[in-house]
Amino acid sequence: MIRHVDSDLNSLKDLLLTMGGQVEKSLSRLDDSLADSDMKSLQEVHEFEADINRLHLEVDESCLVLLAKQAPFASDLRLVQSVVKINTDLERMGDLIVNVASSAERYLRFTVRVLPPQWGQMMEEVRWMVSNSLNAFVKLDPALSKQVLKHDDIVDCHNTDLTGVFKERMKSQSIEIDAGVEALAMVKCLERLADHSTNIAEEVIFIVTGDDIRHGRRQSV
Amino acid sequence: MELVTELSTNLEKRKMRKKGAVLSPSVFPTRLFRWFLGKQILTAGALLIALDICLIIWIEGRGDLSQDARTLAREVVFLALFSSFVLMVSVSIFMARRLVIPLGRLIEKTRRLRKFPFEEEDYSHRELAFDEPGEWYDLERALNKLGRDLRMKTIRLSREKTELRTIMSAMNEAILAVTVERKPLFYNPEFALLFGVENKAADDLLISEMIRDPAVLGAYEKCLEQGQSTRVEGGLALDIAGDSKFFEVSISPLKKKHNQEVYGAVAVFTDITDLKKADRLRIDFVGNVSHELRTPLTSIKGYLQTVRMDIEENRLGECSDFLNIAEGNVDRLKLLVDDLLDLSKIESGDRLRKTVVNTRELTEGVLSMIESKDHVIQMNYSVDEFTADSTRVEQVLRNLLQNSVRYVPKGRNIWVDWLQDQSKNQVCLRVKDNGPGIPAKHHTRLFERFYRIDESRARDVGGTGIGLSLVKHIMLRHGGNVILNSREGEGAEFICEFPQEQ
Repeated sequence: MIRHVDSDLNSLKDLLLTMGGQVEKSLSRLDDSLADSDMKSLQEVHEFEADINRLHLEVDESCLVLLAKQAPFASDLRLVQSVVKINTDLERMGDLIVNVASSAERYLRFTVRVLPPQWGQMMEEVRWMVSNSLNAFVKLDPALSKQVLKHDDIVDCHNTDLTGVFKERMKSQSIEIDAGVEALAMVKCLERLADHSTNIAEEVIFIVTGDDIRHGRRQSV
Repeated sequence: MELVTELSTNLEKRKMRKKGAVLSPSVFPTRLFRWFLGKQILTAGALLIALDICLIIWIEGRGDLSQDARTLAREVVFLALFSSFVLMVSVSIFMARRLVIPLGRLIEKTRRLRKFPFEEEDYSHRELAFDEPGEWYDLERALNKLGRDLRMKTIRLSREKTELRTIMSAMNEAILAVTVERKPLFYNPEFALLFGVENKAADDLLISEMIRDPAVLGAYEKCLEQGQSTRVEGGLALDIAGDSKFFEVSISPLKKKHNQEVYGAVAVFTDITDLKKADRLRIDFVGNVSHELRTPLTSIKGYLQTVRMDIEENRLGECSDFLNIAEGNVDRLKLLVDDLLDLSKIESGDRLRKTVVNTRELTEGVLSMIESKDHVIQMNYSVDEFTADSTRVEQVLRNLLQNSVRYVPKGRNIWVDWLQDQSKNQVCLRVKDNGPGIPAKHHTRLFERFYRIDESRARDVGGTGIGLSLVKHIMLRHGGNVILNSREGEGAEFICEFPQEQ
């Protein structure tokens, strides 16, 4: 039986995934720009922010309308609640990507431009997490969500390594202090991006099973 | 019928003779009833209807009719009723034949027309055999024709659908069509495979569940709004099972035939990963070859200019050294051109001159050509002789040893082993070192011509850059292969397999 609420929920998912696509694309553009040390391409990352912000407002409004008109319950209500949270996460991710781009622009102005190899590895992990947290939402796949959660530990390790590498470089004066500070900010933003991906993965588990596993909780709600 | 008419005439005559006889249809049932009850008043009647002719018979009396007349009247009535019954049955049968049966048959046909698939049943032999022309005949013929046409069109449509499905399944390109509401209309198996679409009906999916790339979604929007074909700028990059793939995406509108209204858009995703790779290889090749040619040429030119200036200024002391360096670079260029010509010969299918190769003689000959005083080279000969093109085998060993000598730090070991692989009936040449090793990411491209691990060429280690490429092609021409086993920091091992005839 076709329910009217299904159509509205599909539109909501469509909007949210479109927003997710924008986040993925801006992250991909950021990665390519940094790999090529391309300043011009880095500035294009900022162009995605406007679309992400517009979609953020649209998703919020759609959620409110759906709640008011359809009064969803059970799994539908969980879905709407999670969409609201994922929406916030995606918007923050968009901002963090822009922050990385801005820091990278300043970083690339210094003479030492080469990022350590761990940066590429960390970026690859973060891109995997962002992409697969959205895939988990599309497929409503708790198993994939759990994999995303596991990858967060790898990103944390890269974060520790990279922070150490940049601290060492600053101590040994192989890079300027200003460049080191920007690089540390970039690493931190990347780590935060991974955290937001885990939030999305946790929401997917909540939608499917009703279990709230945030902050180490495992018991059923 | 004749009897009834005669009786009717007789009765009419008798009735006319009697005064006061009343002919009244309105009293007919009552009087008939009375007569059957044995009363004096007698009335009999019958209604005969056949083919629009109505015959009415009344027999009426006031009790003075004779017994014979009464009996006769009863017989007449009975006959009349029986005739009426027979007539009605006849009419019913006639009507059934003319109306009900053809109508039922037409209904049955119409029901069958609704059933699918048509190709399983042929209706041509089921046509009604109406010999006489008429409305039913025409109607049935029209229905038969309609059925035949419908069946033919359905079969054609079914075939086209099967053909289209087969074509779409066989295509290497992925296809996704969407409606104006951004709902998937259809997609082919290749698309489902590449984009990880689960086995769901197209109606149950959202386009954003399959593709989230803003450029592709934007191109769909543009195509649906403007009704014009469009291409996605920059294509689409996807990470599929760890492999980066690139697609060229072109989107075309789907329009209604009668009013050209756009009702959807279909995108074709062409995998251009190999093209991209080939393009990158081409760019790398041009860059590398120009570097390899230009470096010695620049050096030669620089030293020759210096020598000319020295001669002009009558300073001949260092000229000899400069000319030696220039000559060295000329040798390097000559070596490069020779290697390129060799590679070209092997690639163009130059015939191998197979002879018996003595491994010990060949190895010692190569070692005498290589200056390897700084390394410890250990040999092991498990095979004394085998069949191959000795010149090419010498090239293989020379290139592998030169590489080891160049990249392995001084004082380290290099092993050259000639081994017999009985199980595969082949002779193996193994050149192994405990140098810095080769990172795994370079393994796939290491045998490309002019490929360097150190892309920046910060360290000039010499060589033409096509040695390993030459080795690989020589081994392929021998019907064998070259295998690389290496990890970063753990040395490298090259194994060349020379297949031997039984």
